[in-house]
Amino acid sequence: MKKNILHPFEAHQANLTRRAFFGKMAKGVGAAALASMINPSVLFGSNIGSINAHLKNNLGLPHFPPKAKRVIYLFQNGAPSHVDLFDYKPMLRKWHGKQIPDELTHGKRFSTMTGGQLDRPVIGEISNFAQHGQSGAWVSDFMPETAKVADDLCFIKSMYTESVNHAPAITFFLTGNEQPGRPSIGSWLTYGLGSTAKDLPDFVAMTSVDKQASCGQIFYDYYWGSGFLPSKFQGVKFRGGGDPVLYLKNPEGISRNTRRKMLDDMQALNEMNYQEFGDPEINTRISQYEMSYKMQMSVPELTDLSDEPQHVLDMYGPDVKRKGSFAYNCIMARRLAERGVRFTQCMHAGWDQHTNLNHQLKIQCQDTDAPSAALIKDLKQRGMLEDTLVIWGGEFGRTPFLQGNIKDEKNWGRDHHPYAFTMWMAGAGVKPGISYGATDDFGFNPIENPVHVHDFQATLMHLMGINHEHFTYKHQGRRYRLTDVHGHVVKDILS
Amino acid sequence: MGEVSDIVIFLGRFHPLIVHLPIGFLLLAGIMEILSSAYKIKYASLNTAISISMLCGALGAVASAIIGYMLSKQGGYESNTLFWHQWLGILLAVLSFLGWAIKSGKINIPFISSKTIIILLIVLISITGHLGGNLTHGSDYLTAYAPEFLKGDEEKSNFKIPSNPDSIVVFKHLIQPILNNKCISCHNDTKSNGGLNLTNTDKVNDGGDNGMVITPFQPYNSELFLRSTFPESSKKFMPPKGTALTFTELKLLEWWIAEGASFDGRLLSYKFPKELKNLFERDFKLNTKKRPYYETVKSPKLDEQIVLELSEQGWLVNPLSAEHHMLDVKFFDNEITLSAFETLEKAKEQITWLDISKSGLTDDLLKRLSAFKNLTYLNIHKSNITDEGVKHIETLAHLEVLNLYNTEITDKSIIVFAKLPSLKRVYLWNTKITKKAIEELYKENPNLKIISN
Repeated sequence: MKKNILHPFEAHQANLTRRAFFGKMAKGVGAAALASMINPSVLFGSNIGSINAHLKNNLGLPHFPPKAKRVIYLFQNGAPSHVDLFDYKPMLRKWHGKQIPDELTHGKRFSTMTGGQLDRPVIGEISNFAQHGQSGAWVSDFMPETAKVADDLCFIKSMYTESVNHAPAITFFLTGNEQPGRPSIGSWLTYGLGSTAKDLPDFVAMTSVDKQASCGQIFYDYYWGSGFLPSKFQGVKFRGGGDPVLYLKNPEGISRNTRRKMLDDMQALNEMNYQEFGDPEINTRISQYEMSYKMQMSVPELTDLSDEPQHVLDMYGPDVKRKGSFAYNCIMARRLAERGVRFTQCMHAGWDQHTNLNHQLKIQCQDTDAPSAALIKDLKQRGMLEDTLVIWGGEFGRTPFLQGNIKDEKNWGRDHHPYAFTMWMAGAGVKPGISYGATDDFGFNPIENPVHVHDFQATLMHLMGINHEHFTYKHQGRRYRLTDVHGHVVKDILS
Repeated sequence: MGEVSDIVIFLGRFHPLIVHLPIGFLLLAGIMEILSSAYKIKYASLNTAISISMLCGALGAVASAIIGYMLSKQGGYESNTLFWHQWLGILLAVLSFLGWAIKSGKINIPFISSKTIIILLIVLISITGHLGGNLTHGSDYLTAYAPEFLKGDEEKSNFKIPSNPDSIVVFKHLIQPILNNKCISCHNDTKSNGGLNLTNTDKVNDGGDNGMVITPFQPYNSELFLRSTFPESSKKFMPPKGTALTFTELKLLEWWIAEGASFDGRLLSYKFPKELKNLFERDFKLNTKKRPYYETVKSPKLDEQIVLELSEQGWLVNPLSAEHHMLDVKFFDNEITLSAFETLEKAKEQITWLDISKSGLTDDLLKRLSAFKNLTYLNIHKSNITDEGVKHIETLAHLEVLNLYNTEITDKSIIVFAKLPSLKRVYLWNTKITKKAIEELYKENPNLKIISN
């Protein structure tokens, strides 16, 4: 962090003349006391108090020229089954019904649902695998559209994580820590790299659930939260139905001009308040009002799909116009990326097949396969894969062995499996058409080039031009980074 | 050289230990001499101590000289340095006896005081000691990690590998230095153990008494490589003293021989395994990847004032990174104006990534873009451009990515893409370019990626 930025609190203090200070003292010690209570460690990008501050930063970032300028993260909540979708293991069918070797499971944690289950028969993949594209990537027939773009994807088959339950594992992926409270990746990036969107937020989150709502996951707001970073860097959540952003329209009788004047006056008041107290939350308030004003114009244009040709809409599948569907969020992600939005986080819940593997997994794939693949194709034909990174993956994988009773085929399931899973990346700076890393014959543990969640995060940062070890933020007396004290850039997948 | 008995070498190897005794004694004598001259009365008593110290030093010097000579029988030392080290050492021993004799009043030589002798001794100790150090550790040991300004020019040119991988000759820059460091102290013009001389290419080819030491393409039939990989306890292990070849050096040697042991092959003309690539990066800080253009170009930093002007005119201007001042520029407004473009022209040297899409760029302005020589990425999709404008950008010699989707260009522009020498990817979705023209373009440039309908 460069020295030349004045600490906001020091900046604030410098504004206090001696006379003003005594004047205030005479009014009461309130101001001084309050000021000292404000967390002094908060550091701003630059231009304290300026609403345009988000256009520039003085953090010395990016450290080196980025390959990716923006990210679209298709987060698959609930953990897609790697052994049924991407990690083809012929051994599973050979062992079907037999107890998985104790050597693999001994001492491993599973969720409480199979933690006590003594019978752990292997079950073969419920789908059929084939190799696709020139790269010969293995993709199951549940993902026919993804298979068609396999040559544009980089599969990482040796992911592993720490946590065995959804919320901590998702929090770990998105913030680098299992407990809530740290900034999410999108917040780090928008804080560090500044804005490239003219009239939209830099960090947008959208969520979708499967039609049957078969999966009980909740989308916690802190999945796109800013943690201890100034709150203006938190993701703006677009709603999944109706207006994506509430109160976009001015009330009856209020013209846009009137609104502008009101905001100007309010800003002046807020600025005065900020001068007095130096509370960074006031800054957030100012910039959020300003962003809302811009979004009154930009969001209706953004969400108007009438300018999309039919063949493009068709690619995304039948749900593309249904607000709150994964397909709608995918095309919206492309439109946001086109408008310069730095980080778009599309989270889709519905992958948690504990007891309904045989019918639910395929439905999940049908809902998400075409939109994900369409997004890749669409970005590619527009030349946007040049500098847009697309990530597809869940928080962990699923067990190669059965949860439930093998005779009760209807209720087959797979439990949470943090020890190995697959995710894919595509676009800016990532080698297309490769599979990186490998798991053992059961898809149980990585045996080649294991990639930890922190490694993934370090690589993502690297693609954005950031050395993850040097990008820190001081909070409560300690410098924090996304990758904590871990993480190695996976150089082998960089193009 | 006849076989030397083990006991001689065993004793000889105590030389580096014993040698520090006379050094200590003689330096102590020097210190006491200074003290006693500076404070004549206070330290008068030191005079006896000085002569004792010098006697001890003299005896130690003789002992060191004797076992040093034994050590030299082990062989393998650079003969020139050894000569000087040996004779200066002997001289040192003689001189210290002389110094002792004068100091204790046993003899008296006109004009030569014990002080003169002591000064001379200390100078001699420094020189002889340094030569001894060079003998064991090699002459570059002391300066290998010295700051740049302390190293002589000559040393720089000897040990620096060209930073640009293009100019690296495998033998000259990577293999010969290994031989220089690890082999030539015993295999040189004056001393060629086993009849082998590794100081230059011709001599390497001549091999040794038992024939060739390198069999091209067969590292495991090449003595040069093979004997460096023996267990250190083996009598045939090379080098017999000093540090063994490092992992990187062995890998390099093995690879160089496997690739044919050419003496003039250039690094980048070979394919090398990933392992070696990583070693290059780790040990030589050598990035064998082609450097991106923005790292090779040298343009002056753009004036802050112009950056401000650009921002006011609707351009989003960002340096590629905090370290690079080449610029990434995007048009942020709806419609580009002539004045906005003219401001942009002030930064034509610095801009390497440029996005003027969806802003009504015209052929006239596109024509003027041909002066932006450092462009590597140009995105002008959805603009009002035609073949007429596109033909002017054929001068952009470093352009790697060109995005023209959603424009009215036709097959006529294909010729331009074929001419752009650095072009890697061109985006032609939703243009009037036909399949046939794209096939032709593929024929012209099979490495070009064409993304179209």
